[in-house]
Amino acid sequence: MVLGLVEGAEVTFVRASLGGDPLEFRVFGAAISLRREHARCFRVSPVGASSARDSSAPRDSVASEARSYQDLS
Amino acid sequence: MSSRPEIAVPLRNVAITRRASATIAVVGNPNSGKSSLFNRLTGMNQHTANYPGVTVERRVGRARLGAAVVDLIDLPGTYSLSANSMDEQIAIGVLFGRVLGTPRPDAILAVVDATRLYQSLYLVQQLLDLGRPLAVALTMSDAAQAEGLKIDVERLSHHLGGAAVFPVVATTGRGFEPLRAALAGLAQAAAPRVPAVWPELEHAVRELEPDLGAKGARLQRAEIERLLVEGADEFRAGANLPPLPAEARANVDALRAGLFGAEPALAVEARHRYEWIRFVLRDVQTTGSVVRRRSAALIHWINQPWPATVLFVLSMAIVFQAVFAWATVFMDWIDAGVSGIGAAVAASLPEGAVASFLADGVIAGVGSVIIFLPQILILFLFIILMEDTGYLARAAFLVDRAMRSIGLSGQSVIPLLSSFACAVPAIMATRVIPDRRDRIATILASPFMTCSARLPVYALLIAAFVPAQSVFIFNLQGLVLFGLYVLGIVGGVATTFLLRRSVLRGKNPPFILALPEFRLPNVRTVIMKLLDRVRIFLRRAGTVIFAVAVVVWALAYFPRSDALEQQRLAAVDAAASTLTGPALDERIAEIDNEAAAAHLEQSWLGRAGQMVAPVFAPLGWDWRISAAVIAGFPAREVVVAVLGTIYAVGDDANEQSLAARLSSATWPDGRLVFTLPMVLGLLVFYAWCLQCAATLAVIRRETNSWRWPVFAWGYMTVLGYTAALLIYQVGSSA
Repeated sequence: MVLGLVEGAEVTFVRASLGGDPLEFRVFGAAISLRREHARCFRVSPVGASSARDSSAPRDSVASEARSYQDLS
Repeated sequence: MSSRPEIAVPLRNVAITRRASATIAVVGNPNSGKSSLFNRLTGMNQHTANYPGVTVERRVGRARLGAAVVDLIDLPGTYSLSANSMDEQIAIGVLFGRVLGTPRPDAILAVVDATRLYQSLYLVQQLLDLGRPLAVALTMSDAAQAEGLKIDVERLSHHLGGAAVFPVVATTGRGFEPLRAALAGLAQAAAPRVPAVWPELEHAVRELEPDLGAKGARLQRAEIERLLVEGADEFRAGANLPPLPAEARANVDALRAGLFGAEPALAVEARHRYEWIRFVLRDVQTTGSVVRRRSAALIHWINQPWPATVLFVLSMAIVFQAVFAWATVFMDWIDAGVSGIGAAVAASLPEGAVASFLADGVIAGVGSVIIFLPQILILFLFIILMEDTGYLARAAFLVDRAMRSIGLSGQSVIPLLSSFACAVPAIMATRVIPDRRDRIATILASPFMTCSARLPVYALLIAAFVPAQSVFIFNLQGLVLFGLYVLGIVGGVATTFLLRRSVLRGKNPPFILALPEFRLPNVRTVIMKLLDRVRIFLRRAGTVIFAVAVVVWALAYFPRSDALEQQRLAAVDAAASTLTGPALDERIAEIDNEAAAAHLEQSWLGRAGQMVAPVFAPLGWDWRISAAVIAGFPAREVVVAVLGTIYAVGDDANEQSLAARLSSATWPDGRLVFTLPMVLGLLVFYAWCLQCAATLAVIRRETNSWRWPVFAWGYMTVLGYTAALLIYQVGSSA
């Protein structure tokens, strides 16, 4: 959260690590890593065409909220 | 630079003659290039110590900025003013002036990684709330340019309430002149205006100020802010404050309910602050065309899972090669040098307690510490390089899943690999693991890994008792050694597995890891860090190992028996009357060795060995092995030397002669002591026992309690004993 995974943040999925977990994302140019189980807690929706090519991502860009905060704080 | 001729004066004198005019805290996110910047500003003019009561390093340096002299404190990296770790707690404590012995800084230098402006501004914003003079150093500005990021420095400064912003490149020193000039007068400058980020919080702070401010509980505004966000109890616990007055407390609770409702407060704070940050970024940062560098494409490729795995295995292989092959050369030199000096000292002094104390106690004790230095230096060098290039986080990312399946986290991998050289630096390296349970599990797994101090024992016993025959294409001796390494790993993995299902049970913590970009490390920073850590190792482990060596010497030397000494002299005289030349020398050496063995038998150590021998008898050990094992409990590396003395092969015991003695050792009734089941049991005992006082001391320091070292010692001893017992009993009855 302190790393900027907040409501309205634009997130790009970059890659999964060995064995598909953890996942690497980019938030405003900075790479961060989340485990799949925690990444699941975010609510995201795709933005524009730019993220279309990232459609392989388990969950795509943008916007996280609510219950995730409890886990991530 | 002044034109007056300067005389080089030691630092201590400088400190007396020139008082620093101000203290400036250097604050920034981890991996923001803070340390490189600090080193460039202070040069070698710095010293490292620990903050009182904790293992967090306190680095203070003095910067001469034209006519002004300023003290800089390099605070541990943090992402925000809410502490998640001991390091962060200290950084925040210093900023609030709550750390004993460290004055509240007069001004703040915020270090901001230009390529990660988004995350960096979070901390900067909170720092602005401190209401103290503040300047921003925008590091990695070359990297930002290469990535096509354009940052409007003036607009940024405007958004940060007028705080001056200086783009710098810490590795080359570009942009440092204006930064130095600004730092010289920073403490006297006005604090930047606090940007209107979250007006509701500001109102709440203002409402509490009469109660908690200068006239009440004497909190600074920024502290009241943290108290509101973190909650009264948590904030008090972190800050060590007395309880709030009941009325203020009710006030705080009411205001918090209004600010956050049912949502977690930190989340609400993050939302407000990041909203402002996004607004600022849209104004100051433009993404131009990325300068396509071949290195960028390469780095992208390397980060793909499979190339990354190959790179990881390769780099770990290089580390192992360096620690075990290259370092051995230097270790052999040190070993030869120390024995040479010891022998020379012993020869130049009259025989007796003093000579023995100097040669076998002090010099051998120092030797047993510095023998580890080549390995430790190389190991630390690799760890620091991995940290400073950003590879450490990548490695953690890569192996996280695998490590998690055994109850650890990705960040455990480097400490665990380090513990194949020595558990002490490994346990020190667990500080990068933020989750307490993961960290303790890693600390408890580390001593199981086969450290270099176990190798001499393994080498001796394997050479003596495992036949050098081939099994397929493998050498049986090599296979047994490999098996012992595997045994250590199995022990460690099983331990974490069990711990995570019992004492350290809990759900997986959120694993949020910032992945820094790859970058070239700064040579000076690497060297300084290396020296720092070696110094800490020598102080932590060196003192313990040295003390142990001296104590073990004393136990093995005292009490002296005059009767034995008389016997020895008589035997020498007798030999001198019948033999001459080389035969006489040989006979005298033999007599000396036998006398040493006899002395040891009636020394405290020998008596202790005989006393506890019944405990170890079910394992097939006689009193001599028991004595060597007891001597090995504080430091396992002394075992070979003790066995050498007990079996009377003299000081220059080489493994061949000792091995020959061991294999012919018998019980009083003529049975061989060293049978295969007994040797295998002994090897397993060594693989699993925590025979190292330095490791126990470092566990105690790092976990800040006696509970874990006591647990680790008890558990591992029971495990080693049980395994040795089973192997001997089953093996002997078969």
